[in-house]
Amino acid sequence: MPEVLPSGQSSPSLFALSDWQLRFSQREKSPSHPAQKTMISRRSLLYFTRGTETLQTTPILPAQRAPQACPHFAALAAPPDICDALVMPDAPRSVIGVALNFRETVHRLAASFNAPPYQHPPQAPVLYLKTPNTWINSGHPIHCPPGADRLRMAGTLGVIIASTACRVPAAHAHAFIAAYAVVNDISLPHDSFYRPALRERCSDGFCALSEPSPSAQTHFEIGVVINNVLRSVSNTSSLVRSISHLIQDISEFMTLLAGDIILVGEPETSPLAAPGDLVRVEIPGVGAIENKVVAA
Amino acid sequence: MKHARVAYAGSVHHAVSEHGQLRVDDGRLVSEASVIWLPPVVPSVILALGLNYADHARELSFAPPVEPLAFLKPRTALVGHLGQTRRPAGAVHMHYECELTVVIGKTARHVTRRHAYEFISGYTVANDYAVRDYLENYYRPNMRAKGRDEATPLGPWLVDALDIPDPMNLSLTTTVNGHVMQQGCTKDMIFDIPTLIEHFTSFMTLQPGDLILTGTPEGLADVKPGDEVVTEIAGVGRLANTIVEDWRS
Repeated sequence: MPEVLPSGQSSPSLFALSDWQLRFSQREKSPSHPAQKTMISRRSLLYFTRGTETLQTTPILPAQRAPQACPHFAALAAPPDICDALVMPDAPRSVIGVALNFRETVHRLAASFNAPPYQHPPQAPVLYLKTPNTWINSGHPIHCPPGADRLRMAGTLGVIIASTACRVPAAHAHAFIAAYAVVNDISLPHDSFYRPALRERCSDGFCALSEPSPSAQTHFEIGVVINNVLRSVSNTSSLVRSISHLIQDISEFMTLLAGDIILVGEPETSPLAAPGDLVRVEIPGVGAIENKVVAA
Repeated sequence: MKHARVAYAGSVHHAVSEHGQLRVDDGRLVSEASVIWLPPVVPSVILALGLNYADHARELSFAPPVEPLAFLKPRTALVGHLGQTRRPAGAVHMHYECELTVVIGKTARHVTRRHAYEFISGYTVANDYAVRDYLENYYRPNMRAKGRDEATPLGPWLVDALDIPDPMNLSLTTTVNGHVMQQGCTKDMIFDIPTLIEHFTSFMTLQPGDLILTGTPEGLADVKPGDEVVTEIAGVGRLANTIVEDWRS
């Protein structure tokens, strides 16, 4: 396996920071560096239109990853907003989960999609939010709520948004990615996708997140290890909607802001865990998190 | 006291209502017409209720739920008083929903009905627009129908809880271009405010500024670009919004 976090590590660290992040964090400490002035002035540029606020970003770093084909979106894709996007996990952000996004799950359920209560297969991504009360770091215990004896451990990839993304075509979506995170998307086991699964998905502590890590990979392997036994291996090559198409389809109606995180999907083989179990999620090239399930 | 969040003379301020004008936090007294109204609170969690009025549930041909049917909105859904909401190009049916909105005042976890009101800082008005074209039977009402950019006007005021002695007996009214379209009373909620707070905080910790949009009564109708939609709750506020064309066809 690749480089991973030491077991139980939870404090912010320089783990997995790339060269450009390290350079930037050093710049921040130097008051005389022009980049800091740029950062301050950028943060003060608030625009108001029709009663909403927009933080207008201006480039600090060269837009090396901006696409060339579409000048409009190339101009909009600001470089990663490091200060806002990469403070994990407590900065204001939306964490957006996507249900039914692994092919194996859709194949298993396909017959039910044409029957009540669903009537038709899903047309748009099936989305849910993981609210701030769910966010925990690696090393923090996962509390199994009273009345539940097992929790679903969906190891998944978190895609961290770099800058304001509104109606972004899939072809340009990668310019809006700042970094990735390893996520354990925890839920109470449930079979129905008909009504919003608030209790099942948003109970306190139900979303463990790693430090952010840039990556040049196009596909990611996700492993879930419980008590040192490998229980699930999946790969983002099995996604119904790719990362680019998720950014396109979500930003079509919901503007993504710097720091927002898209959880790309729940693998079909996501295992259950009970109090006492030690759960580790690893994504080679991104990192790993480890949390112990405890009775509430 | 009635609180607002406004942009005035180039920066964002907290302000309070004073004799029909706004007292800005730096001491200036300014006219309401001179500010841009922002949503009065910046929540981290926005909970909203579906089918929480029996007449509305009937109107949509649903049996009333046996436990609160709640969904979440992203922070980008909010827009201030006198703002604009976009009707998506090609949409066939988009309707308003006037809703009393509870603003949480302190960290709330495992709160019982009896103590629920102690955790409320105040109330505001929401207009929970829905674009019915995008409803699907997966996590219904789904975010594409209910979580759209700037499609949840909020405000104008955060009214202190002390100034609303009985939030469970307030009249709600929606007008479109001056015509009354929706009328109801918060006493007709299926799950009242203390029940909702007890329910949500039994599994999720809420923080100051978090919102609960408590649902809407019957009287829904389609709205078109150019329509001025006013959602008003007695004693809480009069929230105006204009429907605009999509700027991309």
